[in-house]
Amino acid sequence: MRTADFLPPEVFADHLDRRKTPARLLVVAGVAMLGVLVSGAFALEAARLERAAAEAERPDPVAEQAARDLDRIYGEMERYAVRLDPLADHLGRPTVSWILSGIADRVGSGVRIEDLVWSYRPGVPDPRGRPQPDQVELAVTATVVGKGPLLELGDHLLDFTGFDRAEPRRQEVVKDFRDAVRVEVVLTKELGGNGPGGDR
Amino acid sequence: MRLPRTTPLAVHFGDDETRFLQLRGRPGDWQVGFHARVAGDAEELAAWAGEVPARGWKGRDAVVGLGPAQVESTIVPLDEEDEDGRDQLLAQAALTCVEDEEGVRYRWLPLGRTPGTRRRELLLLAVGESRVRRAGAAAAAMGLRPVSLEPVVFGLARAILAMQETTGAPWGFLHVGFEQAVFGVLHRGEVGFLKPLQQNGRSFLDALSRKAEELEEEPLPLVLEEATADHEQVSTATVWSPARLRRLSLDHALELLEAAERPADLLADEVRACLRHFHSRHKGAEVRGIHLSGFGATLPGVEEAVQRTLGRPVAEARPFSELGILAPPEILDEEPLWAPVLGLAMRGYA
Repeated sequence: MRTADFLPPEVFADHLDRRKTPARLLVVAGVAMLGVLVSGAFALEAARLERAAAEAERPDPVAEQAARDLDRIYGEMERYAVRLDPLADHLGRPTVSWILSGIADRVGSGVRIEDLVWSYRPGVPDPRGRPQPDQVELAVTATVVGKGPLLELGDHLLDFTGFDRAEPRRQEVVKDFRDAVRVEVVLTKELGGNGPGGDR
Repeated sequence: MRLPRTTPLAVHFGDDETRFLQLRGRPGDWQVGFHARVAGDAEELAAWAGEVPARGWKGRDAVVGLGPAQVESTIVPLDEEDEDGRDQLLAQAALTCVEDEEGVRYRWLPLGRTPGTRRRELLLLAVGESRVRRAGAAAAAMGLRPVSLEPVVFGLARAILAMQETTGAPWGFLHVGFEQAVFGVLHRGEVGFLKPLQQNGRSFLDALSRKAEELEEEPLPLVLEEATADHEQVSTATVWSPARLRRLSLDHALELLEAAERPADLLADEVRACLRHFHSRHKGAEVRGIHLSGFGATLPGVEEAVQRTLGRPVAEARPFSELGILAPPEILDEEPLWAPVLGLAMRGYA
């Protein structure tokens, strides 16, 4: 409702503004109280975590006893370590028994394995002095009938053994055996490589 | 008693008394937080105000109301071609209404258009600067901070509007102050008409007192001092107090009603003229009834006499009861006198 106020309108507007002040203070107090409550909740959670951490760090008699037993076991194991190290070294080297048992079936038809010779070459530093890995060589002597099997023999051996290289060394005709050739292929693998044979 | 902190204190400087009222709570759930009535002149108010600092009023916001006798109101017609010079015209009209060496302060409200013309009517309210200064000084003496200075009839209109909010129909209000009576109409939530009347509460009191003298030969209990125009001589008039008249009306209701009829007829003629004016400006808007407030409303027989002569519903304004405001018995006994003060206190909430 309009009225006739003989005082300037700003005076009553200021009064209305002052009238709102308690409500504003209530809102501010509410927000402040909310802040206090949230802070309190954080403080309680922090205290709980701190207690949990202190609890976790407190010496546990069972764990201490277990640690002592473990140290004792390690101490006893140390005495056998000298003997166990070469064994572990040996077990780390590539095995060849699976090659011997399976190579005859994997070189293809028309090929007959006659001889297998293993050799081991320690690594010799190159002229610049950089160390070179040790190598293992497998010399395969086989009789091959037909041109196709002869050409595929190297690939078959590499596929099966996982060696790095296959290099033919010697070929000769087999007497009284038509179309047959005796061939020697040398397979080479660097020890410590990631070929399939080295990991088996 | 300590005052509520957020609600303003309503102060009504009346003709021969000052009323204080403060509400507590919120709209719809109001209760009277503080009330006081100080009878007498400014000297007695100052003496009473001397105790105020002990009440902790310092700096409290006060909505101040001036009685009808202190504010001049008139309706100013304004032609469309005079719109440019409106402020000058209103200033001249205000200076004509009020004589004050310190100056005149005025406000105006639009009332509506005159049908069939290019003229509209403005309600002009003017008050002397010296009255504004005295009201401010009196409030300041009590430590109060005036935040509004309204004609108290606007407080009455606000209280009645709160009572009639749901109906929306025009309602009249007749404030019969001791020195000045005012008739107004509330229309569409605004004061749609307002006019001071010639009759006042004193004319009713005089007529009733004369009748009371005929009925009983007891000493006259109330003596009114009346300052003459030159403010030096003081004449005295003797009348009966309203409370004593009410007691007398228990045995002599008919006689007092007859005594009130003459001034009621004169008052009704003025109100009828006002209603004709209002209805001619607002076709189809029929005033449902009239709320009676002020000193005259508390006199016995006045309500009935006005109703009978006007021929439409007239009822004492009882906003505390109507709005369900919790109030002490001394306020409920004199609701028509407290209604304008309540409206002052409700400013900014309605």
